[in-house]
Parts: sequence; C-alpha cells; structure tokens
Amino acid sequence: MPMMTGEQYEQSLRKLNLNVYMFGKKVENVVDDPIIRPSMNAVKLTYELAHKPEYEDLMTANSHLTGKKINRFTHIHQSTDDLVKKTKMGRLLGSLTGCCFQRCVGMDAMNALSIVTHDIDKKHGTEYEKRFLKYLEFVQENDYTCDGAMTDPKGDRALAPHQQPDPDMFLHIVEEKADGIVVRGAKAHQTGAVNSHEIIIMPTISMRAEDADYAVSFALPADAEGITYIMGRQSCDTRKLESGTIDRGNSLYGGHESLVVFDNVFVPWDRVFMYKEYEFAGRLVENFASYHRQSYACKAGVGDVLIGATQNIAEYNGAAKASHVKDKIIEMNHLNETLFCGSVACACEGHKEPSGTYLVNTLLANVCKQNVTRFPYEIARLAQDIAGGLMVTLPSEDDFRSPEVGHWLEKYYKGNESVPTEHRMRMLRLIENITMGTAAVGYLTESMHGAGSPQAQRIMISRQVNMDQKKKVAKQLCGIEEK
Amino acid sequence: MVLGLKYCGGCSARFDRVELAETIKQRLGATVEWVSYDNPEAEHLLVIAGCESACVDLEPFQGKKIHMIFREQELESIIQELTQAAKGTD
Repeated sequence: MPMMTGEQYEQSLRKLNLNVYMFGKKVENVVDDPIIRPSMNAVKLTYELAHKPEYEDLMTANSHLTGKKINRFTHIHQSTDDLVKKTKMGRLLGSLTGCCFQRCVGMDAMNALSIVTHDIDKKHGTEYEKRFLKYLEFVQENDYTCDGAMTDPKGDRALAPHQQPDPDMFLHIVEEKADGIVVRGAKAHQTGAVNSHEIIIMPTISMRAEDADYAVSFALPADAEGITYIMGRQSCDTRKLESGTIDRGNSLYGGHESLVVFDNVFVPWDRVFMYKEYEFAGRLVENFASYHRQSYACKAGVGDVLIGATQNIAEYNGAAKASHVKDKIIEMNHLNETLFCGSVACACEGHKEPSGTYLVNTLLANVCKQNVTRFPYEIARLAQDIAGGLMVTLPSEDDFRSPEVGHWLEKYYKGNESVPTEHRMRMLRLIENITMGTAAVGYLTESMHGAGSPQAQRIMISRQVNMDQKKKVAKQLCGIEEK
Repeated sequence: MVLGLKYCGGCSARFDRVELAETIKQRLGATVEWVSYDNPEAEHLLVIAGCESACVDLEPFQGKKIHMIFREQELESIIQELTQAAKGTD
C-alpha cells in the first residue's frame, strides 16, 4: 500500500491503541473525539490530495529507495526541485485547511536523519544509515504519518541536561539491554502526535560528552507501551463541543498539540538511529530545524485564508472600497508573499549532502523563519483592524438561533444588504479562530516558537553570514588599504 | 487524438484548473480521447498550470507533443491549437 486514501488513513488510526488524556480523562475514541477530530481531518487531507490529479504533482514523489510513487510527506529530497515542491505543498495545504496540517514535522525529521545517520556511520563505522533506510522504506510502504519529536521540557534553561536536578527534563537513556535500550523523559508541544502512526525522537540541543546519555534518536510505534499523550488546551477549544458550527470559526479543520511522556519505554536496536554520539546531536538539531523553518511556508497558506476572510468581511461590512482598507489588504499580501519568498529561496539555494539528501540553504531558512515570527502577527493585526470589534463582541450561535432574540441579531448585525447576517457572523468567527481562537495556536504562537524561538534563528543568522567579506568590500570601496 | 492531461500541483493557482479542463473537454468534444498523462497511448499532452511559473516537470514526457496553458485568457488559443492537433494539421 504505497499510498493510503484518506479513508484508509482514518481507519488505520482506529487500529492504534493510544494512551491519550484530555481534561483529566482517558480518551477512549481518539479519532471521533469532537475536539481532536478536526486535526485528524487536516492530516487526512494530505492523503486525499495525493490521489487527486490536480494536486499530485506536489503531493507525491518517487521513492529513491523503491522507485514507487509515494506521498511526498514520506520522501527524502533528491533535488532542489523536491525542496521547492515541499515549500509549495506546505502553502497549498495551509491555504486549503487554514490551520496546521501536522505532517511536515515527520518529513523533516526523516530528512534530517537521512543526513546525520550517514555522517555518524562515516566517523564511527556504525550502521545507523542502514537501519534508518530500512525504517524509511517501512514508513513509505505503509504511508505512515510520523511525529517528529524534538522539544524536551528542558527544566532550568541555565543548566545542561546532565546538570538538571530532575534528570528526566531531557529524554535520556536509562538502560542498555542486549536487544535494545530503555528511555525516559518527555517531548513537549507535539503537533499532530495523536494523529500519527509513528513517533521519531531526536535530541533538542547540542551536547557535550557529559550529556552522552541524552544524545539519542529512535523511532517507535505511536502506541508503544509506556507512551502517554496529554492533550494541550487551545483557546476556545470547547466550542467544538457546542451544537452548531458558526462559533468554531473553521468548521472542518484544526490542529492539536500534546505532551508526550516516555515512562521507561523499550526501543529495539533496529529502531535506534543515534546512541550517545553526542557530537552529532547539534548537527541533527540544526538540520531538522533548518528543514522545519522552511516548512513554515504553510503560514503563507494560512495567511491566504486570513486575507481572503478579511477581504470578504470588508465587503460584508461595506468598507471594501475605502482606500485605507485596500491599502491594508495590500500590506497583508505583501507580508504574506514575503514569507513565501523566504521558503522558496532557501529551497532553491539548497545543496546535496554526502548522504545524497538535499538540504535547504540554512541561512535563508533561518531568515524565512525569523520573518514568520513577526509577519503573521502583523497580518493578524490588520485582519482584526478591518474586521472591527464585532469579531469579539458577537453573541453566540445559540442566540442567533433563539426564537426570542435571534431576530434582533439578524436585524442589528446586518451589514451589506446583499449579504446574509449569518455569512457575516461566520466570516468574523473564522477571523477570530485564526487570530485568537484554536487556530491562533498554529498561526501565531507556533509561528513564534515552533521550529525554534526567534533568538535561535538570530544566532544562526549571525553565525552564517559572511561578515568578513562584507567588511572587506566596504573597506575597499571607501579607500582603506589593509596592511 | 489521444490526449493526456497533466496538472501542476496547484500551490498558488490563479484560476480553477479543473473547471478549465472541463471547459476544454466540452469544447473539443469527441475529437479527443482523454487519458491519464502517464498513458503511453497519448502522443499529445495538455498541461494546465495555475500560474506563469508553470513548474510542472516535463522531463518524463519527452517525445510527446506538449500543449500548455497557464492563463484562463488563453482558452481560445489552446482550443485552436488542440483542434488543429486533432486534425493533424499542427
């Protein structure tokens, strides 16, 4: 089964035995839970579009291992064209879902591991690359969704992993056995974790010899014994439990995040891709982060939805012809396309690593993500400016449907005569959803901190620019001769 | 004429590519037998790209006669081009 359909994906999730908790209770039916379901719908779309002729050029690729047609989310980039298509796929999916579709993180983890396992083997004579490629083929053949899990809770940020008062603040090896290892710890903020078949673990920071027990990378089935998922809350999440669809904003799609706890979990050796080679932890982090910073082209896709909603509400309000409104929407588009530019640029400027995998230009990937930490906030501000205060003072759908007061809402919340009041309400709720509701987790705060917080990109930018060359030319042009 | 149909991936399509394909199919009628782009019977290939960058990789289709459209406004000219191809006069 090289490519699952959306329905096959949904059914495959039903076979998992995940240990998921939300609101203090175990979730018995994850797939149909009304709070989780929209996030499953978003991942499901990545399967559905791969079967549509009008999207398959982006959504599929040919496996470099088997030659078979596979979903691009399981592909290892074989050219800069592949990298560009990844960027475009992210924008496409963001523009169709209006949210985080969760599947990019596993693709980025696998691509990073395809590079680093090769490099470790070259230095240490290990067999990680062989193991990883076998695992990759397994993922491709089953068309699995993988959660790429990097971020540890980290405890006291001033202390290295081995210095933490609680050693579990970074996921670590607790026991070595003949047939595998036992690990303990947690990974935080895991987007799409309970919609995944597999979870791929990577270290979260560069490490030294003292942290060798924390330098570990492996993959496990998402329902392996000892793994527990505790769902994160999102602003306005319980609106999904209410009747009606208006107040949800996005009636189809959403995202989710969770804390994933590993309580003495066994990992067989054939699933271990890094074991105490601490000097490669930083390389894995940097490569994964660079790929994932490229992945934020998805925010340009979500921005497309927000800009469309903003133009609609301007028309519904009767304000679309005002020059300042037109200008603000131009600004939103300018910012949004600039986000896209960064992701396209780092893909076009990618290069081939010794493993054969193509890696993005890491300087430009960091510039891309640095813009993402800022521009969606400004786009959201402009959307709220144009939407007006009604976006946050609007009564509920139940009031709108009420025989007693519904007619007052119908009357007083009418805008443009040709537009039904309900349409105006729906559009306002969508803008609310993206800028301050459940989808704001993905569009705003994830833009800030996902794939690394802003300062992480600034450090990488400072390391990677060629400052000596810039200084040298400046001196030459103004007539300073170096002795 | 046996004509394969290939779309770009549609990341930033400026028009509805599927709708345009349906229009072209209706206009050409029975003069064309539509098949999948990877059907070896197809000597001609219609590529519908959603924007001017037209990023579809055409390398796998070497040897086929490529007809490409990436603007809705070019509908009439592509109809004319395909009609001539169907008559064998291109």
